[in-house]
Amino acid sequence: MAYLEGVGITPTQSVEDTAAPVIPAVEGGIDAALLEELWRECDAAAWGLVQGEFNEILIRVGAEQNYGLAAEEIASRRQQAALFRGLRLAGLALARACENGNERAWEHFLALYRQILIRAAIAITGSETLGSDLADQLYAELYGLTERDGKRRCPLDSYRGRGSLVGWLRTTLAQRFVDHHRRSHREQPLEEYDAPAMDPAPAEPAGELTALGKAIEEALRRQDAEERFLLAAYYLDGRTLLEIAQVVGVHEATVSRRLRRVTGGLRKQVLRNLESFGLSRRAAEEALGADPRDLDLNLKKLLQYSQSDAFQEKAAP
Amino acid sequence: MNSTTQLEFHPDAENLNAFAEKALPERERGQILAHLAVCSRCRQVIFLAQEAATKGAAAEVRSGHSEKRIGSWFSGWRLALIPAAALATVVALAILVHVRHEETGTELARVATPVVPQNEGSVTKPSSKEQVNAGKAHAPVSPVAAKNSESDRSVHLADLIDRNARLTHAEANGKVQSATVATASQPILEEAVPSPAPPAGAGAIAPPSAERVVTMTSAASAGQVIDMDQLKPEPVATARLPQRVAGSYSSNATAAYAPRAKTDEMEEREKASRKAEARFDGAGGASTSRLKKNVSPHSSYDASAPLSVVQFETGSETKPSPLPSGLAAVSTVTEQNRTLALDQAGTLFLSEDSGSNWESVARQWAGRAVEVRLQRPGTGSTAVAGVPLAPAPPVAVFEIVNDQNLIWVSMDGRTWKAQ
Repeated sequence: MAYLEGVGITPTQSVEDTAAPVIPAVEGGIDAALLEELWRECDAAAWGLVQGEFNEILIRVGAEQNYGLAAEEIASRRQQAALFRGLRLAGLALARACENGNERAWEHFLALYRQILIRAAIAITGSETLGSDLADQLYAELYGLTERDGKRRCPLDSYRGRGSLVGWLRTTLAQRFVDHHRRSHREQPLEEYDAPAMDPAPAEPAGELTALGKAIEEALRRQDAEERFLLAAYYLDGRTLLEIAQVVGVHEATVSRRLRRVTGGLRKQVLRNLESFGLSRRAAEEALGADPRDLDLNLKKLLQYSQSDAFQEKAAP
Repeated sequence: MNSTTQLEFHPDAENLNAFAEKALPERERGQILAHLAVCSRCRQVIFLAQEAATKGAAAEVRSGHSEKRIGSWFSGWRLALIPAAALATVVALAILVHVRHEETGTELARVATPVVPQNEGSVTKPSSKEQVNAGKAHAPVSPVAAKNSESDRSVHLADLIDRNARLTHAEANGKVQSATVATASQPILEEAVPSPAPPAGAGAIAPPSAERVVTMTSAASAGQVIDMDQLKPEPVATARLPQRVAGSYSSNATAAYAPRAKTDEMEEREKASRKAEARFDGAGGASTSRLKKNVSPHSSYDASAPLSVVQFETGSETKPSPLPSGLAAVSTVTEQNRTLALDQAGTLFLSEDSGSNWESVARQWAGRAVEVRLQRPGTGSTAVAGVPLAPAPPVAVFEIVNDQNLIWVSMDGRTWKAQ
């Protein structure tokens, strides 16, 4: 707090909005006053972390992320402060201390998250036995019992403090469970679980139906990410409005309105596409009334495998 | 983004969690959202994590509540104390009202005891010495003034005392010389033993049984002098006397206290439960049998002692009437198997099978009937100037007294005419 005031930032002020002069950080390290202030706020000494370890953790985190800047840029003190203020430092310090093998940190971690971990695993698996197994398995992984290339590997090193540690643990549990499910049910992948059986001798679809399929495909492709997510979550996954609302962060009534708007817009877009294919308005509306079973169109596949360009760029190695 | 085992690129747990917690900047959030739109695996992961978070929060809330509840267990019970206190109050009030009703009935019966002789006017309560003497069946009792009083309750009491007094008066004198005595005792004897047949040896000492009493009556009515030393009250005659008393007086006690002591609501409630256990004449019968137990043959000659017993017991143990109207009987009279009963509304019911079945009697009188009773036949007519006449026919004459003290009579209980 004092450090932020020292660099001209109020606690509630966005770092990006401030026009204060950039104060260059100490090269290769963090400002000592900031470290001291963050150390006091984290109260990491309560579970056995010493300030030297804490400083090392912060320096390493900052170096890994370069304070959210490009590789060549040097973060100022304010940028450093902004980065650390945006992180869950208490959880991050605990995770790194556990990763480093600090026994007192593990004890504190267990005291804080052991029961939460088990409850979350039970909630995810829907079974007490499976949940306990899943939690134990993750705990063993977190403790670093697994080794790769002769090196002890701890999943906690992937926690970077952007979200809460407990949320990260829940998400990791969910990932483990889904991956395990998908591995053990490889014969029936989730995305093809209820796919209709292919007709051995499919008849040549009529011209209107072909146009309809193309129009729908085109309309779906034009939907933005959130609309596609809403459609997929609601119509493909069968999630409730409340579940979707919790993930998106809006009220469920808002989700409902958005869904209605998306489907209405999709219909209009399909009609426009059909008209652009040369069909009259009346013919386009009649084509929309076609039996969906006559369409050679897998909406699930269409939605699932239409990777967005942005993510592909990001995901590409 | 980290690679997964399926050789697909998915956001790692850090990013998915940050997305779920709205901790990502807009650009990264859009990227994650775009991925979620096409990746069922990551959608599943994020929905499962969200579900676990929701359930975990609910569990924490529950555990917090349970801890709080354990910490202050009494505070949770404080709310339950309110309805418990209300319930206890209602129960206490119900018990209080019930007890008061019981006490009211008992007190009315107790109060009625001294009132009866006062209403009678001419009947004085015998002293304890007299009671002792009466126990010996030789106690002198004041002369009889057997007239009906204006009080409902005292009418039958006067009747009873009148008969008792006449009998004891005759016994005290040693001999029955007056036709009045004979006629006074006649109804009692007639009620005790219907259709008396005078034995051949009129004037002889009566046998120690009911027939003996009949013999006495016949002898008295024949104008013969009977040695009353030989007419000491026998247990049978004694028992018959209170039985008559109980039969008539119990209904009067009911009439006196039932409307005051019982609310209509309580009567309605108790009616159903008592219907099965009590016939209409059950009250009289019960009182009678109790009277037979409590009253010794000697004490039956005391005018007050048996009455007190009768009053108390009938007052406290009045059985409900199973009359067709559903109302309590205020006055009943029984002659052989024929029973007449007046309910609280003044409706007269007749039963010819000792109260098992009832039929309503059409109103043939003015005003509101308040009492039904047996007329003492032959009073003032069976003896003229000390000369006993022929005994009155053993036919019962029922009387109805209305609220203006007018009387209607009937021979069969169905047809009534003004007296």
